[in-house]
Amino acid sequence: MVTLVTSDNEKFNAEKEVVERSVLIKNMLEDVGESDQPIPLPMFLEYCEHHRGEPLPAPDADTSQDDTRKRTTDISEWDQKFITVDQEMLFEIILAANYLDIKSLLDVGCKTVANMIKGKTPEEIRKLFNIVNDFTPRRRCAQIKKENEWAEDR
Amino acid sequence: MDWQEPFKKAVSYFKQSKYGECLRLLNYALENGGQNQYAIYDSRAAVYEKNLRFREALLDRVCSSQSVKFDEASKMVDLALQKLSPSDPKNHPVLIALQSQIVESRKRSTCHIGVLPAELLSIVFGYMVQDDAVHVILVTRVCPQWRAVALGDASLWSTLVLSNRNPSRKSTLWIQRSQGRIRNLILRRALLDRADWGLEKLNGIQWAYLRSCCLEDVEILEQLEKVDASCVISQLETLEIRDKLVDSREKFASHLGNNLKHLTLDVTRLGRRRFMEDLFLLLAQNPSLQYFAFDASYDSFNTRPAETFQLSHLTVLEFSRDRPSCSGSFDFRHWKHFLKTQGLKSLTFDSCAHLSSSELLRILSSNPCLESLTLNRESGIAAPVLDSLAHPTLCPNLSQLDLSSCVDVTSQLLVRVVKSRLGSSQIPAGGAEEKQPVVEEICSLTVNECPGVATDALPWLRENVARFSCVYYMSKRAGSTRRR
Repeated sequence: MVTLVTSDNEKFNAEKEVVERSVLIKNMLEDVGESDQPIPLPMFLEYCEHHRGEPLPAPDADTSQDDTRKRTTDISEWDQKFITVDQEMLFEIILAANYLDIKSLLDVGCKTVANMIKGKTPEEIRKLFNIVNDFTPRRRCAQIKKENEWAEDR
Repeated sequence: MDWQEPFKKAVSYFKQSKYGECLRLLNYALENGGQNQYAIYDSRAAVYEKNLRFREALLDRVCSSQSVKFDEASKMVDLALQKLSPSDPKNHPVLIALQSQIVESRKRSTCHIGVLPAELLSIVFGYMVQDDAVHVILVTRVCPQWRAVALGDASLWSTLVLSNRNPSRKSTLWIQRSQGRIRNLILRRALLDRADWGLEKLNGIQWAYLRSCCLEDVEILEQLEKVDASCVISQLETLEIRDKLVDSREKFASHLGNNLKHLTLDVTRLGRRRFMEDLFLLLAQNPSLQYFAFDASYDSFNTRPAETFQLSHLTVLEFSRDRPSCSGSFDFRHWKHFLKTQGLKSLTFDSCAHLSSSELLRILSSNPCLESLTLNRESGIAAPVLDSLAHPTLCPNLSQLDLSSCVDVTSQLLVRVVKSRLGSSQIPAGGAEEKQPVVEEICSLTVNECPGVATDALPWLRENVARFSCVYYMSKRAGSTRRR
């Protein structure tokens, strides 16, 4: 068993197999070795517990821009339910998954955001995420309008 | 915008310290389309403050949507709470409620996505572009920050689709933004309409990165040979050919290697036997093929390949002849003896000649994972197949059925199939211990132009199938019927 401690000092016990879904924790455990010292890291136990036993991505899995694998934005039902949170929490989860190096959770978060954006106009996207439209009028009118001509090129 | 003029006047009254007039005009502006304008609430708050009406001023601050104003509102509430006795039964709870309202409003109006660093935004955009390459245009139009992220990620520009919309300028821009690493090249037929277009415009492409190619009547082989890049064809993982260039395509196909995963051939007519034989060779040398769609008429093939070949990775197989105006039909007899599959998830037959129900049932029984079956414009096939599918041991995962334009489809058969698979996640007879596969419900059923489907069965089918479509006469056909 491994003890995780959140930033507000709450302690959680979890099996090594579960928390090792985070590559960061896995590396920390390897660095620290067998120890009773708690690891000061937060939550995600529910996510890792649910996905226990699923194959972890290979450490040298190619995630570069030349990746040829077809990626889809499909999300499993359980993951969808897990990630149905308000925007503040959603982006915190994405940041934390990135920090903890839990690739599958990072993918679920990013796919969720991608799905939120798809099918919307730029104006609707700005409204959804409270993004300020601070394009200078000159730029907005010229280059962007020209490129918009290709928005239907499929 | 009715609110703008009164708002301007109100501001000028405020400058002249005419607060009564100013307040009246601000209220008018709010009632006439300005209810979402932060500036009006902010101005009215200032008027209330001048008139020492702090409570109203505070409420207007809360209505504003800029974070600096939330800070001001929050400070005002804190100050008021400090001065107020906690036992004040009237004002204390109101202020507490206001405070939580401020927190909630701040949360709602904050740009949370702004916390994502560029590399994570890039991942999000990558998923969008993977889904549809034109999404890259969309994200560049949202704000300068998103535009900078998109322009800085070459992988987002790796799909180049050229049609008649300024292809020269587009290819230059895309090649520059992708750093020449075009992975997917799609040359549409409309490109031929552009006199100013020439394949030399693609010269900046680093051909070694190309993995997917879609060609519509555009001859590319010569250009590849000119730049000594014809070997790129052997790297292709996805190839779509939709055209009439039979002769040059035969030469093109001869360069293909064994990396193909997706192959689509949508050609008017395969004129020579040679191509078909080459195609069989191609299939035999690409056992990793996952998707194969074939839309062509061919009825003069006589030479069978020497042996059968397994496409064990194939999940999607489509045979169609989707151009009724063209003569000829696709003859399935040429394929059935040597094309072996076992992992199909989607199977389509559209207007195929010599497809027998026994042959189709053999395919269905050897592909137990099938999820989607489409039989269009086939005669004498649908009824026996439906009869067999009414036993859910055959293709238990089947959830999508399209039997449009099949005259032998009847409502009784449809009801039997749907009923036999109702109660999703149920285990068929035999008990749990035998680990029988789970039977999926039919969630999509399309039976357009099927005269055998009786209207009295429609309510039951609509009730028990999530997506059900039954249009007796499609508009084109209805038009042609009327003209006769």
